[in-house]
Amino acid sequence: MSNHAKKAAEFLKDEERARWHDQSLWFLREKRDNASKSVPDWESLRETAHKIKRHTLANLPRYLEQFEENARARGVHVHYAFDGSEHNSIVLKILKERNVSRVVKSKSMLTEECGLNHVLQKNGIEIIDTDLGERIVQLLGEPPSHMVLPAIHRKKEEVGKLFHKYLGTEKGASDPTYLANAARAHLREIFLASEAGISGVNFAIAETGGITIVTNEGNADLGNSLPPLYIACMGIEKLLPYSRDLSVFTRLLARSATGQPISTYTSHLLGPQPGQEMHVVMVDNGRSDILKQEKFRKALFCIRCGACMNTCPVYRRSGGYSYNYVIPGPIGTVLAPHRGIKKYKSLPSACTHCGSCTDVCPVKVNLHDQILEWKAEVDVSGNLGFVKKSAMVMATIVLGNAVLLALVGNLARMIFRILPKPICNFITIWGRTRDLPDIPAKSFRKVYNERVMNEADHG
Amino acid sequence: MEVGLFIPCYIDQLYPQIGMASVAVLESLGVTPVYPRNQTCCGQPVFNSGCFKESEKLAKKFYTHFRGFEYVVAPSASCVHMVRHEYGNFTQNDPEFARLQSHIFELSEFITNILKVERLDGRFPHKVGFHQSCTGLRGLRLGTSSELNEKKGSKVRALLQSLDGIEIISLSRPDECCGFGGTFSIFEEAVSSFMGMDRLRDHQQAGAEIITGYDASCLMHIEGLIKRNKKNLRVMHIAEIIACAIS
Amino acid sequence: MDNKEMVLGNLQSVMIEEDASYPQYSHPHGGIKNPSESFKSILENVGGECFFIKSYAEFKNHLVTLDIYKSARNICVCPKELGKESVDINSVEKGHDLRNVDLAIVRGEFGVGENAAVWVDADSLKYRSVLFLSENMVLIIDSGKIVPDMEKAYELIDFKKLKSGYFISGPSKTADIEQCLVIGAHGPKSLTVFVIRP
Repeated sequence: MSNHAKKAAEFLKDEERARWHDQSLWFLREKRDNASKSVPDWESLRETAHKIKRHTLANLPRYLEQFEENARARGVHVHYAFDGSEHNSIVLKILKERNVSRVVKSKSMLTEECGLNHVLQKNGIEIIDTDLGERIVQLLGEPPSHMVLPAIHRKKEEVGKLFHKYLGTEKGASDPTYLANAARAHLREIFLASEAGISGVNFAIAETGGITIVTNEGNADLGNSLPPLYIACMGIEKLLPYSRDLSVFTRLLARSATGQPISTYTSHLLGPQPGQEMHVVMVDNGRSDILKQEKFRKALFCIRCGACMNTCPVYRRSGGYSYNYVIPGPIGTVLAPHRGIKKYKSLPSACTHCGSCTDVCPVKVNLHDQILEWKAEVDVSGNLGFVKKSAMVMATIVLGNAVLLALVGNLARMIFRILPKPICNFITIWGRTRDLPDIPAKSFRKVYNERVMNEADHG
Repeated sequence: MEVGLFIPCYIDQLYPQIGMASVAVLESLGVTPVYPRNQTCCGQPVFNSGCFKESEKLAKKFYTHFRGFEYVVAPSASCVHMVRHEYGNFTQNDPEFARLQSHIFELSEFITNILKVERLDGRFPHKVGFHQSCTGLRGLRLGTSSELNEKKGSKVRALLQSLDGIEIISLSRPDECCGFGGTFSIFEEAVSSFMGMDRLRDHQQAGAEIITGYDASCLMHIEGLIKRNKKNLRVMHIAEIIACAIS
Repeated sequence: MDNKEMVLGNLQSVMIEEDASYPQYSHPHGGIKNPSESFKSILENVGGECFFIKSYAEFKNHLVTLDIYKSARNICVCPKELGKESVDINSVEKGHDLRNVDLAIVRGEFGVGENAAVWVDADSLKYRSVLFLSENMVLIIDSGKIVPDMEKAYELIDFKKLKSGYFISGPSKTADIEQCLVIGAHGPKSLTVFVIRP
């Protein structure tokens, strides 16, 4: 069994929890549907968003330089990082030069991708994730299992136990409001004492050199307005040409992610506040390579809403950890293999190509088509596996010839009709959880030929 | 009118009755199906495993049997999708190949879009759950998927609805995948069956007696779960329902 | 080669053949017939409150009846028109000193009907952290303006001059614990919007 299949099977052993995980995420899908259906122009908005991203990525060098120039003019320090480790070095250097020992961070998939937390901790800097879900998984020592809801896989009793240990909440308390208030008080002191704040970036605007951050909790904004040093980290694909383009994306993002018409805070930062030092680190880390590949480049349109995960019937029933990559679900499946097709070869097969992901994606990434392309890459790179490859080669031979198909088919059907049902079920993987179909004595072509001959005889 | 009849490999081997029902339905509508004897497979199971080169051989074979027909009809949306949308990988600018791609139809799609039949004269007094298989729904757009903000609806559903006495039940998740997914059903067997059971439960809770659809592969998967779990439901391909209703 | 050269250099070799021109677009929200009504109802749905009033005087009379005002010990009023209360944002030494603000009253430039967002131009605030540190927040839209959608909203903002600005829709919130919605995460626990229309 492949990596994903094995982990998914494990996940499903706790049937009740799996069902709860599935239902929780489906609920988000339903909320997203209600929101999208309340916007008459929704499908046109998606098309426009797709075209804006396509245009921006086709002209990325120009827009990056324009952003850099405008941001610098506003007093922002702009850095380029070719890869993840460069990004980490840049951030570390900025913090070390200012003797920062503690930094607050708010949601950034990019910093997860680069492994920033680990590098800072190794160098003696305490880094505290401040989104409630991120803080929970940080205290648990686990990676996030969903892009937007990092702790979706944990129940409130488990969070209660965790907070009792680390935050001193009452033993056995599991009321979400009580626990969230405890986290608020705990993190508030940390915000006020921090020397630096780090956040991700949802959109960077070339026209102005400003950045836009989309949040519900308010932690990102405490992190970028209290400490004297603020570092924003972004993938280079986050660029948009004009401020006006935000009108399209702010209408799509929250609705797709959680079904909200907009997140609580849509923050537009166009330069440091007085007395503050602001840095933006623009990271490539393989994105320019993806852009070169026509089959896969649309994955860079992604605005990290998580809608594809919420709708994916496989993700909902396998959980984020089955994917073994910083981002799970459909978008994770099309991004991960760029980082090693051998390591992630099981991900493309964890897909039925139902196409639901592509239909919910606010920027119309052709997710399920790209997953199929990755299957082909897995084959071409020799990673399909002996069993699968031989089965397909044999199938092609048998299906390539009608006489051979009839022969093999007749034989197989005969065997399966003779063998008792329990044995048929036992010897096939299919038969583990399903019955085989009733095996007919004659194939269609036989039945049809007999009819044709019958009609011919009877004129 | 003559049409080329494509009977997918697994229907040929495992569900000949669906093939015969398709013949009966076409004939009842005044269409003469012609069955090229040496046809085998559209190549989809091989293609969907990522083996594009191998499936190309099967695509070329398919083409040799079906070129020249005005229309080709198949009781399988996923196979039709394979030809229409994926054969483009193999056509090498052959206009005849392209013509085949645009003139192949799933059976109920052919009835509604080409024969322009919207109502069927037949009786089927049963509670039916309509499983909108994914490739038919989001690939061929035989209906409007629940994800989209569009109101087009489903001609196929309307066709079924026109049968006297039929009651098409409402599902809590109208178009979630059943989990068959080709080789997915074998290599991700745990998730596949979990998904299938959820579909089954949805139909059962909505009161369906019969689950139908335009892809026998999905039905085979759901039927397997029905029998293993001894549920009081059965599956019928849409061709079988129509053939039964109009006879 | 430095990082910038490496990034831009790698990007230069990307060849995109398909049409990738910038799209001309306009997507007014056809479903918002009454932006004010939509604004109020959505704000209430997301845990906020909305009052339409005729003047600053009426605002003051209404404000003192609210629990968030009555129970507040430290009130920070930002718009000059409203005079001062116990905390003067212009007198504190740093943003951190606003940590005990129970209620902040801030001007909003306009509201958006499709999502109950209020545009707050933070350039007039000495410390923008007041928007996130205060326990409760009142926003006053004294222009009375509520536009139907975000497209209209962005047309009204002059980004050339702006240093920071926020769309704020409702109180802070989280659903990170078992998807249970909790109103009041790190930012203000309540949001009350007053729209002045004489």
